[in-house]
Amino acid sequence: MAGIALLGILTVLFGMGIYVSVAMGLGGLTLVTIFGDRPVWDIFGYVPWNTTTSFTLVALPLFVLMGEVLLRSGVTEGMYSTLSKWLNPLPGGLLHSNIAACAMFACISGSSAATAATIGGVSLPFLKSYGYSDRVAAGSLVAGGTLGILIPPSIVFIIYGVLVEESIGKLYLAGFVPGFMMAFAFMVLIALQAIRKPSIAPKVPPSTWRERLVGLGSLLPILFLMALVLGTIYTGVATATEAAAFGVCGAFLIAIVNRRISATMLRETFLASAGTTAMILFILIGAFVLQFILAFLGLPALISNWVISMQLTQMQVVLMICLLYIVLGTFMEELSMVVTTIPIFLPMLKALGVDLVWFGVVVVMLVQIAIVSPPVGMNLFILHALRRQLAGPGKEPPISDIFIGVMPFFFTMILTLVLVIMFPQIALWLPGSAK
Amino acid sequence: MANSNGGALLGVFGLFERLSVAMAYISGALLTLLSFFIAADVLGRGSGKFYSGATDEISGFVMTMAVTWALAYTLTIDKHVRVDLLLGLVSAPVRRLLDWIALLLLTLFAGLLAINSWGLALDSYDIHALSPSILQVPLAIPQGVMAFGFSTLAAQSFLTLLVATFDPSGLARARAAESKAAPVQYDV
Repeated sequence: MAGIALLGILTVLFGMGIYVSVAMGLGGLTLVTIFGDRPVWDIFGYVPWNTTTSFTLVALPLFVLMGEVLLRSGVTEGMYSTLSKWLNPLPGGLLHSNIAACAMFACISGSSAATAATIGGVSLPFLKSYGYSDRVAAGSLVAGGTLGILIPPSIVFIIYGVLVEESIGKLYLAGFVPGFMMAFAFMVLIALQAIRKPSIAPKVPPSTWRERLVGLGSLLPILFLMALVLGTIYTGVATATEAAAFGVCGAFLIAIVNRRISATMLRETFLASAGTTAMILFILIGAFVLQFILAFLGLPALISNWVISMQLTQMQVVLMICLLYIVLGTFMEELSMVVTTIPIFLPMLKALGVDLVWFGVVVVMLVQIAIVSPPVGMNLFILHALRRQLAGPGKEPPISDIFIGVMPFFFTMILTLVLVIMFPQIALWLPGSAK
Repeated sequence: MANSNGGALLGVFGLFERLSVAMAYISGALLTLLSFFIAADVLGRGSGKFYSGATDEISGFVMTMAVTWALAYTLTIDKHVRVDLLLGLVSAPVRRLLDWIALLLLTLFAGLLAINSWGLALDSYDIHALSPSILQVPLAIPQGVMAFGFSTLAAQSFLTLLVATFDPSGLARARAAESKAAPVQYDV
């Protein structure tokens, strides 16, 4: 009964466009008022306190800050053109640089939207000038951008890790191999599309070996940051939060070397990181309030017992959750989808003995799929905005182009997800080998 | 008469917006300093030269301030997340009504967080609760800082609600100006 009430309340509040955090907090309050046996007012004080002082969660604002500094540090300049010089000879040409640049940027950014916007901003004008297929170009950037949250660092892994109390470092290492596997799958797809229909990717004048080798210098700052952040986690020198702090210092160092530090740069960096941090943490406060109230009412345990009584196997339950996320992901905001559902699934997953690190990778891949699935998906809108800017006033390109272009990538993502579900070792061997 | 009232309201509203922006600057700067501090502490610990012994506690206190003090700013640039799937489909008057209800509930929720956070801080003050590390910080201080952050969100939200009620076009103008001044901000 309480379960149905919860579903009803949240659907109505989300549907009305109530702020997500408020919907979860006040939705929880309504539930506990109806079904609880005593008031729980004080949780509105100590749940926010515990949430906003959690050391694990400190990683989140620090990785956001690192990304904001990097966006203004000039680190991506030269990256795209270097990668395109190396990958141009492949069938599909510059489209491969979209994927490779996204994968590389993902190694220093935890956000899918920032990855799609940054790489899209550099590559779209370039691709347009060479007459590349608009649809495939946009599709590859929408999909490539989502690598931002699978390849560590990743904001979604931090949120998931805090919700299920799993090590962020382990989750990061688990996302690494599936992330590059997905990037590789995208590149195979692009090559196949280009072989079938060469006109989508016209030939671009080749570069000399000298140009290629000289260009490698522009990748060094990114490799340095990768080593600083992932290297320290892998070798056990630092926790995710500490690695994020190193990352911020490294990002500032790069900005100083590139002479990008200015009052305006600092002003924008401070405001943007504060704004994003408050936006995400406010949702998390609502989510933790709801999680506490649900546990207080014993709802997740009830649902868990009910599912287990149906004698489903671990795999059947995981597949059902995947299906639910794919459906929810078509219309629901991605972060809200994760924070409202994970607390409900958690006891069930634990009872069934599901590996929570592996499941974390599955969840992040499902979020990626949600981000690219029409009609509502963040990266679709980002690419739409970029294309609109490029086309100029009065010549708005239809968003349906992007929907069509992303479809082959959508199915490639599902295929990669199936592989990770069938062979959990793809995700688990790297954290297993770390200190 | 109504006009001068609206002007005074917008004036107070603008004043609060400036306060929110100032608090967000403090948040961003604090996060930057925190990164330097954590990195120095880890390096110091490794080399055995310097170690605060309370990295996690200090980080937590700084984060609670950085987060709660930026909440009102995020409201002024309209970046708190809502599911807007249906909002795009309804007529303008219905949309205004739903926006108004969203603000009303936000004010209630923020008020709830603020009141109970002040309660938490007062309880800690009454029993002289200290933080568990060697620093022995009276918990009422960081908890009060958090409560202040939630209070500004509640106040900002309440003011926005008032402006939305009495001067909706003024709100639209103020929002547009704030969003234009804000740097581009990326979602997850």
